[in-house]
Amino acid sequence: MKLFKFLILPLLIIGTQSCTEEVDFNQIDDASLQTSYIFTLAYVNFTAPNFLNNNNEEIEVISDFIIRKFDDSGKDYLEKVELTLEIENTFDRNFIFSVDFYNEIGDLIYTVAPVINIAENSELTTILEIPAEDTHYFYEAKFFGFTFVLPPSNSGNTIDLSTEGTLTFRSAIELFFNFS
Amino acid sequence: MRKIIFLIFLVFTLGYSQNKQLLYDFHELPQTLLLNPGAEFSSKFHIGFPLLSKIDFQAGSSGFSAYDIFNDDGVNINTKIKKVIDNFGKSEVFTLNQQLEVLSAGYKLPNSSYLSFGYYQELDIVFRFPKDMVDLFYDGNSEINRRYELDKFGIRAEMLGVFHIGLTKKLNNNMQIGARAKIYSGVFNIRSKINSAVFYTEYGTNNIYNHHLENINAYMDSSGIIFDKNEEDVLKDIPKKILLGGNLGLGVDLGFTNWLNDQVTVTGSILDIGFVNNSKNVESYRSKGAYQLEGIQLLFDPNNPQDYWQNLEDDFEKNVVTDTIFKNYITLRPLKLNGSVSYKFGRPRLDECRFQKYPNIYSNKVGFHLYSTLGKINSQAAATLFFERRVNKNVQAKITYTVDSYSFKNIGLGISTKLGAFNSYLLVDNLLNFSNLYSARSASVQAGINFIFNDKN
Repeated sequence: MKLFKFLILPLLIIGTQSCTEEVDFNQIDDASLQTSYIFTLAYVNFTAPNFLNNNNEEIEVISDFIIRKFDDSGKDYLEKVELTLEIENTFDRNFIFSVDFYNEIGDLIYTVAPVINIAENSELTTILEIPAEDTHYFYEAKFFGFTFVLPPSNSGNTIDLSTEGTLTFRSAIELFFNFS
Repeated sequence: MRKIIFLIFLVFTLGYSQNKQLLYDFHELPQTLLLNPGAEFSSKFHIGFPLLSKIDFQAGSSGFSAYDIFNDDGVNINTKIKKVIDNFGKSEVFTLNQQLEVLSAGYKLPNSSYLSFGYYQELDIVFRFPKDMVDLFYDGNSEINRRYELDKFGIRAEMLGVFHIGLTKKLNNNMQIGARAKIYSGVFNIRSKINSAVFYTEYGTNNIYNHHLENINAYMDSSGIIFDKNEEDVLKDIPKKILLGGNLGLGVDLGFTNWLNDQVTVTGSILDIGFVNNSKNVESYRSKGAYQLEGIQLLFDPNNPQDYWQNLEDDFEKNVVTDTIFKNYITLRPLKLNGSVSYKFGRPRLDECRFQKYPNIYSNKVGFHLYSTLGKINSQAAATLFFERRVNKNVQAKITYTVDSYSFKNIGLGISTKLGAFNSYLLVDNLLNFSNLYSARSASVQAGINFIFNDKN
């Protein structure tokens, strides 16, 4: 039947001449995905009693720790880490803030640079970076420490129960991955 | 990672859908009885070549083809991937369906009935993913206040062996009906769906950001998989499970052929009305709830040290309750519906054609075929125009043009040859993409060998 031949012959030609246009599967070697994920982190709102001991005397250092419990997945692809800090200090005192990584036995293995000097009655927003060469500490750490140091006042002011003021600390972390 | 991506892309090149429009109503082939137990197939008896009577492979993706990514056009592959993702719809589907007929046979009973039976293995995977989930992975979550809707996510995957026996019975000159009973032996089954879930990040009050995971309602059921077994042990279990040692189920196919007159025929079938009772190695999860996280409020209290991380986990588990269930569950097989109307015309010119011995036999057939499958994860419909022609006494051919939600230019060609009792066939879909196979989003290949013995009278 002519109609059938008319239909089937072109299809057979297509079928027998089947081919592929130029593709290069080696391009997969160049495939990469750069992405980042933000996570809310720690926050705290200090008032004067936070900086006093049981005898209501000013203390020099206060610290708190978060135990790391996330696994190592993503370790090979983590390119850098950024810590965003928003700090507002209405005390008439300076503070020094640092984020420190500790190993299993409590030894300090890494301090995120730079250590932040929080001036009296100030507001600051800053981003601290853990560069690619240091990201392994992020996974080696067992504890992440947040430390506020209260240096002696130049003016001789000390904090007591009646001192007004707050130190507000807010933070977030952004993990930058390069999947390639 | 690279290997996984490559495998995914490789599979995506192979095509899409479970529609078997070329095989349906191809009445020279006994395998058409698997698509319509009431189909117009006649022989004295047939036997399929063991393991080679029907090899069927279909797979694909609704979203893109390998050519979209690996086209050697000098454009950076990452730019092309980004373009593909940008062109995704609200959700995309990936499917894989593979069947291997191990045994197939049938013979004509004295009372105008045809008994057919056999055994085949089937692997079926449907994976639906929302674009928002891809965006979340690809672009990260730094877009504040963007609501990522995760509710389109779903997966169904199963491997099973199917023992079947069917009877085709001609009731009168106008009507033929058929039914096929099936016993399923499931190797494994996974089904999972996020019925609802929204994730977004907004600026917080106490902290910089506030993450929200709202309206979580998701489940995952699995059977036949032992998660803590190693790969070798799992593979070792497959032969036992596929031969009635797995999760058992029952099913039935029903079909008919109605000859309205000598030339007009209506057919229909409903396949896999059945279930599998998943009772072995069952593990299920149900999650419901909502959670928001503004961060960890540090207390700086040396007298009362906190395990903040553990507190977070506890708080999450309290708000998003996940139940682990070790209880049998029943899965319905994805239902498949077929229907066709055809018109025969043109008498054969060659006197030696076997079909000329029968009254009202025509050499050509044109028709319209509708197909749909209904499933929890994905439903699909397709419409096909077909033209079937007995080329000569040894060759029968069929051409199809199919439209479904993934392609408007799917042309298929099926050829069946018969030399004596030896029958072989090849049914190939999506011929237009043969000029560039890598650009195909959908293609299917079915091939097989049978021995078909016809009545001498």
